[in-house]
Amino acid sequence: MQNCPTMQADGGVGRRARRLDIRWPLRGVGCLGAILIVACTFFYGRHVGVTALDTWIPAAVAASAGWLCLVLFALMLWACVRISRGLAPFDWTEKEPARLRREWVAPLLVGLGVLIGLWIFK
Amino acid sequence: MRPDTARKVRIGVLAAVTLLVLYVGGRLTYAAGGLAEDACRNPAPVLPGWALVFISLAFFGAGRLATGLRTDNDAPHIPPLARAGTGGRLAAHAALATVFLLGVGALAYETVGVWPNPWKLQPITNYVRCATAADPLTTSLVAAVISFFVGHWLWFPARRRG
Repeated sequence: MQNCPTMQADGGVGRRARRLDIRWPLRGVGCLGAILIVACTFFYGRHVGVTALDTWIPAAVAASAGWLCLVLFALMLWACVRISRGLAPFDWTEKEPARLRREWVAPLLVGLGVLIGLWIFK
Repeated sequence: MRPDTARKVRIGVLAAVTLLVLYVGGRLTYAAGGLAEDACRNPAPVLPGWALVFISLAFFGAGRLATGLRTDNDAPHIPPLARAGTGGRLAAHAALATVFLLGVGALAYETVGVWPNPWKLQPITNYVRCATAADPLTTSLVAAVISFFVGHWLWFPARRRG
């Protein structure tokens, strides 16, 4: 039983529950929301006459990151409900983090964060 | 390293980090209570701007090095969440949900703070600048601890092949 790949992937839950692959809906919701937020921030910034670098770009970056956090928060809550009901978690929780676990991803993100912070939030 | 020695080292490191976090929390609370009202009006920089970035990057790297002490490094081909039971997976997802919720709150605050707003909220970066000027030691310690955890939890070691 221990060598069964399905059992290992299910974390020993012991069932072949249907997994939900929500990777593309999740990417779509995240990207569309971020694009919408950037556009709204841009037009609102022009409407109230604020400067780009000092106000609307930092606001757009922070609000877009907040939106992505909100999407992931909702996803984790949904995952908690599924786990508590004994259902398999999403494919996203197994496959997508595996791509993010490549060794160069974290230092690249930190480097980009430092550059964005020095440029926008200095 | 023998398994029982490795286990003792892991427990020692975890205990040291726990004590450090408790000390930083206590020191932070004490330092915040001692701040005067006008501390953030014209903060005079004590540390050069690059010093905090350097400290954070150094401890980010130290956190990555410390991943070698983790037990899940023994079987990196199996994702840790897949090896946990229902209770463990529920706790991990609940902790992640809490972290994301805190992130939403902080980023919503930052979004309002960078606009001219009627509540006179300031961007979070202003508070960091103020904290660096008011108590550079505590600020550096907090930055180091947070960077260590980020490096430890999010900078994953390369998976072994075969």
